[in-house]
This record gives sequence, C-alpha cells and structure tokens, in this order.
Amino acid sequence: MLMLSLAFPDDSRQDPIAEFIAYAGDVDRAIALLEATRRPNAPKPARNLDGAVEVVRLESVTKSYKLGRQRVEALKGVSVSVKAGEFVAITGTSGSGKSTLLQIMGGLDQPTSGQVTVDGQNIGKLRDRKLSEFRNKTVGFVFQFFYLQPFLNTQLNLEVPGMFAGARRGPRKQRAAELAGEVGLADRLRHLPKELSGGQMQRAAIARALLNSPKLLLADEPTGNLDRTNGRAIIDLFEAVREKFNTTIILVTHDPEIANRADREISLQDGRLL
Amino acid sequence: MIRPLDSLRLAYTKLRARRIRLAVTVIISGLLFTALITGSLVVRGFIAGFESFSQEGFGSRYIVTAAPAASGNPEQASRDSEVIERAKKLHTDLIARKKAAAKRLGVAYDEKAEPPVLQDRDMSGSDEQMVSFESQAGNQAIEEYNKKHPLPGLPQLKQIGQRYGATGYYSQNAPQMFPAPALQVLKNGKEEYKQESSASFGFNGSTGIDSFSGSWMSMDMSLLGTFLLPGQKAETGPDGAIPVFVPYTAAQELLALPKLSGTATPAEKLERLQAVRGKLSGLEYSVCYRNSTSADAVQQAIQQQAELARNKGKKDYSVPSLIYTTPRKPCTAPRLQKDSRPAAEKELAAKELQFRQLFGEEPAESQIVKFRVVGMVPDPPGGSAATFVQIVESIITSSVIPGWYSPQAAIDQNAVTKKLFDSTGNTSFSFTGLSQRFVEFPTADAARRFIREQNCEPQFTSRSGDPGQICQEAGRPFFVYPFGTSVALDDAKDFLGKYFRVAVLAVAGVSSIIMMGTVGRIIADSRRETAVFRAIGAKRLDIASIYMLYVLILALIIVLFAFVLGSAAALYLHNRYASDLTVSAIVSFNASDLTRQMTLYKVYLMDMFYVVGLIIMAALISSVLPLVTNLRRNPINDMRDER
Repeated sequence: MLMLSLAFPDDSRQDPIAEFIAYAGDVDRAIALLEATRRPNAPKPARNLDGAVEVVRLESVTKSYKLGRQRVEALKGVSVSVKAGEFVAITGTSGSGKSTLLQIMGGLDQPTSGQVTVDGQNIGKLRDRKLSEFRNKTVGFVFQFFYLQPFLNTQLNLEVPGMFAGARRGPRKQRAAELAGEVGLADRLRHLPKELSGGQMQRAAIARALLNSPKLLLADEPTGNLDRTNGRAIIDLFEAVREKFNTTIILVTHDPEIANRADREISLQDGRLL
Repeated sequence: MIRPLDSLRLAYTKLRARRIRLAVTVIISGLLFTALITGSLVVRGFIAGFESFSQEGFGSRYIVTAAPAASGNPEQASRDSEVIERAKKLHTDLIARKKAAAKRLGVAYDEKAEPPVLQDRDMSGSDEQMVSFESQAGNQAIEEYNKKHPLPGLPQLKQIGQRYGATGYYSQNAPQMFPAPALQVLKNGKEEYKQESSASFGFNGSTGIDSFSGSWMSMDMSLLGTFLLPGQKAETGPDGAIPVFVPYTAAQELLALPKLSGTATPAEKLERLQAVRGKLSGLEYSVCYRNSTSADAVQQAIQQQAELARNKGKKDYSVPSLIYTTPRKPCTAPRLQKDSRPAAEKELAAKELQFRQLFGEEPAESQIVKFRVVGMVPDPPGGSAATFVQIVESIITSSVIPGWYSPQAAIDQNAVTKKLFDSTGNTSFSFTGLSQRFVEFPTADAARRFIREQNCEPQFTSRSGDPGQICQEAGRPFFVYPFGTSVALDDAKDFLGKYFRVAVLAVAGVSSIIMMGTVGRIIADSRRETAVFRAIGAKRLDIASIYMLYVLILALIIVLFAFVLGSAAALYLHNRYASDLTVSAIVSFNASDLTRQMTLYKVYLMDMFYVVGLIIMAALISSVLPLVTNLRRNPINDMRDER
C-alpha cells in the first residue's frame, strides 16, 4: 500500500521516507517524487497526459453579482479545460476571480452564462438534489479555513461525506480510518478539531475530501492558513494523492512556489485568463 | 440520502457538544411543562381520591340546591316604598294606641322614646330611607309584605323539577331569628352567664359548641343519612331527646377532648377521629332555650350584678330597690335578690308590664331541650383558605353540609323547637336565606340541564324593589347550583379536560416562543455547519433530517426533565399533604373504610400524551423557520461570513 504520509513537520515520530521507499511499487517514480518534495523549486518530473480524458471543461463562463449598488463582473468569458490526473494551479491577484472560478467548477456556485462540464455532466443544468450528489461524489473540497465540523471528532468528520452518500457504516468507518492513517492522523481519530494543529486539521480536511474517491479535488488556498513548512507538506500530500488515485487537482493559490509545482498554471486577472 | 441512523448520530453528537447550552435550553423550555405535568398529576390524583371517597357520600347522587331567587332578606322589603308607607301609618296608629293604653293604665308613655320607624338607608348622606328593624310597626309592615309576597317553595320546585325527571325533593329550614331567642349548649349541665352586647343568637363564626345557636337547622333525612353514626336512628328518643348531627369540632368539645395542636400528625388526627366516632354515638347533651324576654331578663340580671360589683363600697352609690341575680338552676328565671320597692312602685311596674305585653312582649319562657347525637358532619370551611391543605379541604367540605342538623319530624315533635322553626309567628320572620330546597335527578346530565336552564341569580342592588323580580317574571324563580360532589365533580372533570388542553396549548405557545429563542438560536447559529454540510454534498433533506432529529431528541430530553421534575413536585405534595387530606376526607364523607387514602399523584395517560405531543410539536415548530432560512442560504456566503 502506498502511504501518503510524507514528512509532516508536526508529526515527527514517523519515518515517512523509509516507509515511502519500502512500500513504493514504482521505485523510480517514488524517488523522483521524494526528490520533488524535498526540493520544491526543482523541475517537476514530466507527466504524460496524452490520451487523458477531459475532466473539467468551462466554455465562455461569465459570472457577475451585485455588491451593494455595483455590479461586479467576477469572470468574463473564461474557457478552461483540465484533464484527468492533471494538477492545475489557479493564480492571480486578490479579486481576480480565482475562487469564483473554483466554486463554479465545484458546483458551489452557478455561472451567469457559459457552460460548465465536469466529468461529462453539464452541472449548470443540474437541479439542487443532483448538484448535491455531484458535490458529494465527483468533487472533493479543501478550504483555506478547513471547515471541519467542530462538534465531530476526526473520525466522524472524515465519515461525513460517506454519510451523505448513504454509505454503510462499516466500510465507511474503515475507509475513514485508512485515510486518516494515510494522512498521518491515525492516532487523532478521537480528537475534536479544536485539539488538532492547523496542519493536522488541513490533513483531516483532505482526507475528508477523499472519502468518496472523487475524480476532482478542488482546493481553495489550502496553505493560506498554514506556516510555510506545513504548507509544503500539504502540497506534498496533494501530489501523493494524485499519484496514488490519479485524482485531478485544481488548486487556488497566491504562492508562486506552490504554483510552480503544478503541471500547469492558469492565471487570472480581472476575471480573464492571461 | 443520509441513513436515519447517521442523521441520529450527527444530531446526538451535536446536541452533546454544548452541554451548558443544552441544560439552559432544557430548563427554560421545560419549566412551564413541568408545572403542567405537576398540575395534571396532582389534580388527577385528587379527583381519583375524591371519587373513591365520594362513593360513601353523595358520589352516586345528582342533587341540585334551589334557593328562592329573591333575597328573602328583610332588608330588601324594608326598602320597598309601599312597606315604608305602611310602616309609617302603622307607627302612627301604634303611638295613638299606646297613648290611649298608657292613659287607661295610668303609666307614663313618651312617644319620643319609641324607636323611629324609618332610618337612613346608608351612611352616604343620601336622603333615601328604609324601615327600621327596631320599630315594632316597621317589623309588622315587613311581615305583611312577606305574607303578600311568598317565596317560591317546594310546590313550585316540584312543578319545574318534574320536567327534568326529578326523583326527589328535600328541604333545609332555619329557625326564626327575630326577636332573637337564646340557645345555649349546657357544658357539664351548667348554663354560662355572659354579658352579651347583643343577642347571642345568630351565626357567630365558631365551629365549636357555641356555633349551635347560629347554625342549627332542620334537614331532610335523605340527605343526612350519609352522616349517621353506626347503630343510630334519626328519631326522637323515649326521653324526648331530639336527634342531631354535630360538626366534628363541636363533637370533640362535647366529648371534652382537648384540642389537637396545629402540628398534630395525620396519624394523631386519625386516632382522634376514631376516638370521637367511638364515643360520640348516642351522646346526649342539653340546650337551654330562652325566648327573647327570658334572655333579656338574664342579661339584665347579669348587668345589674356587674354594676353592683363595680360600685361595691362606694358610699354615694344608691343601691337599686329591685335586684335580680342569675338563676341558681340552669335555664330557670333570674332570682329575685332584693325587692324593697314601695307598694305603689310595685303596682306601677305591674301596670308597665301589662302595657308592654299589650304591645307584643311575650311572657318570659325558658326550657331545657335534650339532644342525642346520631351523626357527625364535617366542620364548615373556616375563614379564608390560606394553606394548600385548607384550600383543598375547602373543596372537599364545600360539597357536604356544614352545621348542626336535626330531622324536621323530630323538631316538630317538641313544642319548643316546633315554635322556633315556625317562621310565620306574629312578630317574627325567618331568615329565608338559610332555607333551601334540594332536587335530586337520576343523571348528571339531567341535573346539569336543570341548572343550565333554570338558574336565575337575583340581582342585589341598593335600590328598592325585589331583586328576584326578574327571575320571577322569567319563570325561573330559583337560584340553583350543584349540591354534593357528583355534578360538581363531573363539571370539574369536564373543566379539567377542556381547560387542561387549553392550558397546554397556551403553555406550548409560550414555550414555542421560548424555544425559538433557544432551539431556533442554536439552529440559526449553525449556519456555517449547515453550509459546510451542503458544500460536501448534503441535500437539503439530509440537513433537515439532522436538525429535526436534533430538536426531537431535545424535546425528548425536555419531556424527561419535565416528567421527572413534575413527578418529584407532585410526589412532594402527595407526601406532604395527602395524609392530612385523607383525614379530612374521612370526616367529610363519613368514610367507614379507614384504610382508604387520598392521593395527589395519579398518572393520567391522556394528559401525559397531550403534554408530550405538545412539547415535541413546540420544539419542531420552533425549529422550522430558522431551519428553512438556513437551507435557503448560499453555503459559500455562509462559509465566507463565518470566517
């Protein structure tokens, strides 16, 4: 089994590197990945996406909303295509429309015009019930402020997406425990969010997002609330996730270092792609 | 769709997370329901106990009291303009006759000493007047008025009662009150000579022996039978003793038992009751009857002796030539102690007596009347009920008969008492307010219908005219209300059934508002949690099911809290007061089974279901609005706002 736990600064008792090497099936790729995690600015190993199916397709998407008396044009005809297994970073200045774009991709918001297709579904036409199912099963969200439920312990927080998917308790519990182990929180399952560090909370949030094995992982500034070391560890985790599950990752960030580690960077300015 | 067990798990976990808030919510929302549950347990328990005891009382009988819907009060007649005119004329005639008689007999007569025939009606300074009861002519005018306007009696009641299928008619009568006779129970065979500021006859508020003169009445045996002591018959004995039913406190005094202290335990009270019952049956006592002339003579002797005692040794005090002292033997005439009057003075006094007797004064009369105790009735409720037990006791005792009672037939066998109860004497009239009639019906419905259709309450005003005139004209000449427990108990149960539900609804309404402030607030505060759930794929129905289960669990905790606290309160009241009430009930219903218990705790399932249902409904109602509001919000905005 490939462990996702790499080097978490607030979890020193593990020896993730040794484990990584020991359990890796593909030694060359594992070493390359390990290298990448240790030297974030080093050139990324090439990832062959030829023939990969398109997971996300946005065509001429616009989004406008009212802010007081003013009408704000958050997105102005954005067209984007993301393939399965791709790691894309969305960058831009504050107010450029990054988060709005991510929320539209994740079905949390509706475009004013244009078409959004995710995993072959035109999500702009989905009714609330189907849209909820889409958010539950097709995408996984990771937020800057983690948004774990404060009254649930780590175990139950991780299980929540499974509950909404109607999954049986046994397999769901086992899956949550496995994911907790893979993000290095096996010994924190009984803890409430307030008893976890920021990095641990974000790892729990990632594990929660992965519970229903989504095809698309959307992260809105996932390191924005963490220190640099923990931030790097989270990005390492994203990469490991992609490696293991071939999950498409789209991530909003301000940080050029993180953007540099993505396969591709999409830059926005004033609601338009650069 | 989320599985119900998972909804429950999330709801329960959320509820447990904020224990202080949960406790505050439960206490605030649950207290009103606690009061309701306590009320239901106590009142239902009381009714059950009451029903159990009333099997021995009037429990299976539906009796209605019917008092004439006219005041029957001499004061009302005294205000009548015709009576006033007639009294004035009689007064003028009386003075003329007295003048002529005085002249003939050679006695002095000062018409100014005659009590005025009219007096001011009130102290407000108005010029309205009424006939004075001090005036002989005034009393005669009122007597004539009463004869002309007889009060509705049994014949009329029977006529009306027939239409409702009445099965029995009974009477309660009071003796004459004016001029006041004296009736004194002899303690240890002795007559007490006390200086009275006014006539001793009349209700004096006492519940002991002294209450006899004010509350002795005749009553039909059909109603008294319930209170008969074992082995007794309500018949005049071979020694002429009149059978009597005595109040409990008076019974203890007749037996010369020391008064129980206020802190006596229920066991002590029960022991006392058994002792009284054992010794009271067949106990004989004597009453001294004096007509007003005899009573006045005794009072005069008492006053004269007091005056002599006050002036003893004073040289300037001139001792009267005629001195009387109190009787040596009970219930005899005052003794002549000294008579040093000259012959002329004695002759004049004899003429003055002749003059007074000519104008209505009866010859002095006194006689000992024997009574035999054949039954015991509860004490009348005394004063205002202040404690819980007094309030409940007043409910029990108000349904039975407070007073001293003898059967009319036995009263009529004794010449003295027969005369006393004859309200059509020359110068007397009965206080008809105490004379009541009773009608018995086969069912509660018939009794209730009779009350509903026939009751007419006389309107008392300060103006002249018969207050019952409207009732007479409407063909409803009686003021009717339930007697005994049955109809009242049925009504009480109906009342409870009806108003308990209204009270529950009102409490539920208030609680819903309180819960909106607590439960509603909790849900409203959970906007971010709801938003996160929505973001990770929860459907609106999923969220709704979690919060509905949340408030349902909360409601069940409130139910548990209210029931536990309500039961504890009811049990406290039961332990504190039920034993005392049991003793009261045993006396009130003359219960022979002394193991029977009053209770203040009974679970009435319908009430409980109703309260539980309302608590749940209140909780759900209080959660609907904030929940719908939450579900309609944009999760992204809520997550953003809550940062």
